[in-house]
Amino acid sequence: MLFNSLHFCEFFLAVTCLYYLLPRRHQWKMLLFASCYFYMAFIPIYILILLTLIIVDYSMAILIASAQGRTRRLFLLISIVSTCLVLFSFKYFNFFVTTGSFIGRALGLSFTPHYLNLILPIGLSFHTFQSLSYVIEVYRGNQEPERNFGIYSLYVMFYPQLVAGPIERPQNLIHQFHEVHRFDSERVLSGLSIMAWGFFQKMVIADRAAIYVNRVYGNWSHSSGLELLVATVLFSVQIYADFAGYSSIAIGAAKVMGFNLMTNFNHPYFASSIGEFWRRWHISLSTWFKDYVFIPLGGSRSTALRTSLNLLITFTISGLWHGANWTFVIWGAYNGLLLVLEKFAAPWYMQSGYIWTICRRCITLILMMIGWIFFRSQSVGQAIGIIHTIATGLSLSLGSIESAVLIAADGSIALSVLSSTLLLIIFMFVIEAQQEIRSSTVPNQLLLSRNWSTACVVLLFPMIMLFGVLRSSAFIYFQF
Amino acid sequence: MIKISKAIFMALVLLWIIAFSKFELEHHLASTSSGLQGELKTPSVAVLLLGSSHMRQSIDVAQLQSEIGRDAFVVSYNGLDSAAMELLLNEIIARSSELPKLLVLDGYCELYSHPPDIEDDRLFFDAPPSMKMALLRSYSQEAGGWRAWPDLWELTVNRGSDTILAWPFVHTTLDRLSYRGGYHGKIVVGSDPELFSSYQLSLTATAVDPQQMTALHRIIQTARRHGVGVLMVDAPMPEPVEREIVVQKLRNQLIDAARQNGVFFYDGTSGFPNSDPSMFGDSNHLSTAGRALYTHRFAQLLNEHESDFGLDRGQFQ
Repeated sequence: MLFNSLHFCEFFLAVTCLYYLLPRRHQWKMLLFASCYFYMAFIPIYILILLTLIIVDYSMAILIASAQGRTRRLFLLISIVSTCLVLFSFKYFNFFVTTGSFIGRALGLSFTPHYLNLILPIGLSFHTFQSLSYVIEVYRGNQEPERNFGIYSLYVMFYPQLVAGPIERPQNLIHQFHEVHRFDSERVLSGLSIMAWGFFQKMVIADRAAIYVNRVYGNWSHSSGLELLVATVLFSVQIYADFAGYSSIAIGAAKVMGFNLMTNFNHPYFASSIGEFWRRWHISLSTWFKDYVFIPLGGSRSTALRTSLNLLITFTISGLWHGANWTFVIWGAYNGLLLVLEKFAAPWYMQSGYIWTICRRCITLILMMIGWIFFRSQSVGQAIGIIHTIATGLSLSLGSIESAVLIAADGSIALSVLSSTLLLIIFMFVIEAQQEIRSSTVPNQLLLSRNWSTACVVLLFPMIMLFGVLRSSAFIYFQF
Repeated sequence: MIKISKAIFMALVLLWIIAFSKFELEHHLASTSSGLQGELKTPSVAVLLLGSSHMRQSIDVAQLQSEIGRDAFVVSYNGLDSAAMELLLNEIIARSSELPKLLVLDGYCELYSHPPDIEDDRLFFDAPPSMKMALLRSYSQEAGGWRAWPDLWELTVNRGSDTILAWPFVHTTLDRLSYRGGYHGKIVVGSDPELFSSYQLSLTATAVDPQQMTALHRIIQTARRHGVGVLMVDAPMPEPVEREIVVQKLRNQLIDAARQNGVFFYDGTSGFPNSDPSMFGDSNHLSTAGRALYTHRFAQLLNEHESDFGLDRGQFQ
């Protein structure tokens, strides 16, 4: 069930109404049932995998809390290994077999690789990380183990953030399932306005950009440098609008029912450094890696060289988290390397001043776009080919501009589609810039004020109907 | 609760106002140098060419006018079938102060091989409200009641919004790039020989759709009733496409239909170097070189049969 489908609208309306109509003691049960239904709308049988993971982590957390010394560590290890094993089997097994067979062939060894023919359960990377976060926090003593199996299941399965985050921390979410959420029209309205903004980002910006991007990247070897450049810029917009849009819908949907989910995006394209970008992009994942990988590795408390290595390791793993492909590994390592270089260049690069900040913003944006080429490409060869074509085959002749425009749509409407897409992208960033200028630390703050909430719902709904791509298409991050 | 209901109500009202205004007024923003509105704004049109992109890419309007010494206009929309051609002709007849002398209909077989549909959103955008209603009625009958509603919603509310949003820029650019419905300065290079040999239309239908056939008969009758001569043409197609049995079958049916109505069907492929890849941009569109050659041959036909096609009547500019 996609958020941008009629099916979800009906589901959301029914669940929200039932949620407020039911007595308090039954509310979480209904939410759990709704979340199961939501998950099973994709591949029903996979609920059993999720259930197994829930049972393991639920039991291990209780055992960790009651155990002492090394036994605690053992239970933590059992939980982490079993969770990672599921992730590995479904997501990484074939990748490592392929890589192993490639290395084997290079070394002159011959063996027949065996692959697992499994469909990746939706949102597996997200809910496994959320489960790991819970067990680790219980181990660290920051979170009491949840004794109510239903509530813990709901923590893992809460439908707004089940398939693509935000990856919640138990300290932020679990206690909310025990609280009473009474109907509050202002909160509901602000939740709806955040959802409307998310739908706008997804259906009007991301899905429009996707048409162009898919056409060019799907036929990249026959595309010109200009077409690839336009597609890469549009993909940078698409991936942001797609994922930030999803997060907004998730945060808004939860807010309608009285739950506060963590912020996931804070206008990342306004960042003036790579470090700042990663503090603004997919915040729930970045902080997850910081808390559970980077800091345990030693963080930045050690030598500069060790810190750099820690950064590289963390970002490479983060790249691999996104997908079992070398393109993602390189993308992660590339970002890690940029951060390391930025840290070394900080004394002269991170100077203040208006012009210098704008220059750094542009540099950051360009560097991120180069990284997105690896993220979007099917193979490393394709990514290198695309970069090569952009660097060497960029022509601004009338003919190449015309053919670049004609990719946007069939026939004479191509110019309208492309120019209006650009106008709508500008509109989105103007709204974001307004929030950025207000020095908002809370994204969507604009949408949280009372008048703006109403205005957003009133204005964005017609905009989505007028300019949105009304045929549902999946969110990019669902595949992870 | 009242606040939420109010916001939702206001959103719905706003959407309704915008959609209604769009339905009633968007044709005023249509191109003035192409399409239906372009034709209606052009004072004297002796030769009206009506068809799809197959027709548009095959005729150089400026060249045709200079060779035949008459004013011409191409009203074309991608995939324009005969059901939609009929609606367009009715609109032109109802709204033009001076009717064309000759109506040239696109005889491209693909257009007649399927039930009526709207391939090009511009057709709906350019249509005045009465024609829009006719298009919606025709589509909802074809698609079958409630199942058609999402498509109709998309067509009326969603499509064309881009053109309105980017109107000043798009309008200026498109008007510069088109001349009397045809392309102005557009260069279409010839095909790659290897690609050329693989060209196919891959049509599934083996007979002309009955609704399209009925619409064709009605178009001819309507034109005759208003004293407008009718000619059917099919622009040249690449040799590999011409070899397709289905293409030949469908074209023969159209030739028969034209003959029954006393209309001449001009098969542009005959005598055209259609095995030369440089003459074609793709499987069913001519290149710039092909367009120049075909326009010349078509102009010759009109000049030779001036009186047969009714072009010798009245005053021409």
